[in-house]
Amino acid sequence: MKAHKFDAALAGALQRQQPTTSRFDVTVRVAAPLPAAQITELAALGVPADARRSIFVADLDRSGLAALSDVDGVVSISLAQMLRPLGPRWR
Amino acid sequence: MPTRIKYSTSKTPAVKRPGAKRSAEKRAKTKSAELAASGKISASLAVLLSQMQNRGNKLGGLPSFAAHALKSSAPGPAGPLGTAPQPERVHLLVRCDANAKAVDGVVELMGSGSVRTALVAIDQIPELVGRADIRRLSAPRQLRPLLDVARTLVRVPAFRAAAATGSSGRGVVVGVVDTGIDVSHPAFAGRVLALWDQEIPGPGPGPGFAKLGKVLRGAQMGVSDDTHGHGTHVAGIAVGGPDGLAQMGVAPEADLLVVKTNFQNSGILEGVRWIFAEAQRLGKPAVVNLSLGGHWDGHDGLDDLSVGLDEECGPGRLVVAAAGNEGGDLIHARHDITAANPALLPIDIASKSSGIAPQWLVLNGWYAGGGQCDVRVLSSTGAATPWQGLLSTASGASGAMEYTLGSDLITVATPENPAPSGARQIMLTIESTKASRPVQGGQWSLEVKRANGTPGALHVWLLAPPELPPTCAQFAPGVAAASELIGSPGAASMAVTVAAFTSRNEWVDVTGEVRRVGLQAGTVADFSSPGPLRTGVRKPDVTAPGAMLVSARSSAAQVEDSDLVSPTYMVMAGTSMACPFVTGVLALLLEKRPALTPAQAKQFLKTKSRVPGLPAGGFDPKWGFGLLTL
Repeated sequence: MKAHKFDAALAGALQRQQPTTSRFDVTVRVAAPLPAAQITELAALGVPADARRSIFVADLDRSGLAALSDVDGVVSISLAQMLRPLGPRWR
Repeated sequence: MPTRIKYSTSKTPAVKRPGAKRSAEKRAKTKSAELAASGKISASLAVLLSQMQNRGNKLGGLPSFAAHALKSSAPGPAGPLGTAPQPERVHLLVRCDANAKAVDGVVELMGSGSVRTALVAIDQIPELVGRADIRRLSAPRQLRPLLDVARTLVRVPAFRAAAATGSSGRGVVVGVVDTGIDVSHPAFAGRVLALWDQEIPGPGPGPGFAKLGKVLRGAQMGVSDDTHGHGTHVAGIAVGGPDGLAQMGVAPEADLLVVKTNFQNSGILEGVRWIFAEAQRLGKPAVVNLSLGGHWDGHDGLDDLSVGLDEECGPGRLVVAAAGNEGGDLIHARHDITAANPALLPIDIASKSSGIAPQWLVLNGWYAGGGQCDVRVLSSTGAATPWQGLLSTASGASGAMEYTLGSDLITVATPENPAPSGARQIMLTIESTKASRPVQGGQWSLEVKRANGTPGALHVWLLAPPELPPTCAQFAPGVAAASELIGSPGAASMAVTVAAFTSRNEWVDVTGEVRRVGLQAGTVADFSSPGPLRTGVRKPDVTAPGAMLVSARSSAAQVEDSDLVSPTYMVMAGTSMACPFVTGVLALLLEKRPALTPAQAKQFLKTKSRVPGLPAGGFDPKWGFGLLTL
């Protein structure tokens, strides 16, 4: 596992979530254009990648994250962030 | 809280009445008083009933404010003059239990959900008042269409009518990634092409997309609802129809593709990709509205969602994002760190007794990466975590450590490798370990000191549970910075980022009361988040009306009377509302120029905007390039 590819939020989440069954919604940044062999590697891990983009999404457990971090073209793996609607703030 | 202005009307002039009618009047007044005492009659309806009873239940002579609520009944059986005289009937708004029976007696409730309508004779009102599933009756008011005011302010009608444009959004796809949509609302009749609900189980859209949720089309879309109501309101501002309706949106003939998102930035990015893919399949240009945001990123436009959006944009593929509603909130601190000048950032956390104490909070810190910093946290009891420098991630180590201060768990993440942008992130999570008690209240502190190199400016954004007010946890006023409050996706380079203007600050609600909010009309809204980005990049791009706007109300959303202007339209404010205004304008442009690029769109908006008091092209961190005036 190449944990240096994990962002701070994912590092913190991995520290807090000890069960091996925990799953993590992540975004994956790759060095685009990704070679066909690495696209196949990512697809095998459940990451729908292509040669045109540099950001992909995935839902993985710890072992999946470890395997993903070992793929050469993967630059960083970040924990998905929960955003919110920017609705009424006048109350 | 909004300022409530009590409903008032002029006194009914005294009328001399024949003595024979006095006992009937007395009974009528008693009846009216009994109805009022039930607590189910609004002030406006009580006035209306009283005035009608003074006139023998007749329409004539009523002040104009009330006359529109009355309807003549349908023709009855033929009388001596052809049609029997019928009692005047009143059109009521009915607040009721969501599962209230449509017919329980003589009166029929029309519509569904907890706000319905009924057309009743005066003497049928006690029947409604007596029903246990009826909560309140009120008379509708003649309303001024607030969205019409906003459209006029921005000169949308003239822009649409101009020969060079002459547009309504026809042939353009508007994408809305939000809380969903009420597809049955007449504002969108037949124009929602498809809906990806990421919150229901399903296989996702198919190859190339995350296996998340389900894409619905046609009658299937009815299974997806918008219980929040935000997405329906947003969609109505951009594309609400039909054309010509007072409450219509900016581009009332554009088609809609909707993503009911899970609000993860990953789901949002996938949603935008799906909208552009669908639009391409249909051969139509598209503009996607993102009235959402957060402060988890580096506020530099280099986070994964921002970069992903930038990759999706191009000719005929535009994205519009809200700036955010954190103007004036003390959630950002900035400190230039040197060897002699460490950062000490006090954080005030609400106590349990305040009722707004958070169960967790996150400190999201960033610095340029030319140096290294050590960090520690001091709790309000004086306890502190050890100083923590960059942590190695070799041999599978996570780059984070956990500490316990009292009954709170502190996770400090300081991984040694910088983010792809080159900046370093430190992320601290403070969470209560006991479900029964929140984080220890009082003043905490974040300390950051230089370890080596030149760290430069440290920026920290504070995140707390979104259901709590921002005062639940905030930086002390002396260290809070009133800038750099636009996060992802508003930070995305290609996105048009929109600030909010207060075009109105009062309205008449569904019960007839005048409502007012503490926003100054005619200027940029206090709540609108200011830029620039952490890197100095100019954001927001433009300002548009965002308070107070009337738009479609989702029938599945619970809404207070004060926010309703009719059973199907409601008022909201936020940069969420300003954002779809610009989305609609870009849909009008795309109709005539389907290959419009993001740069061309931004240049157009810039030339049509102006900051008060600044020369053309002038930029202000709150206004961007100013109020859009087409």
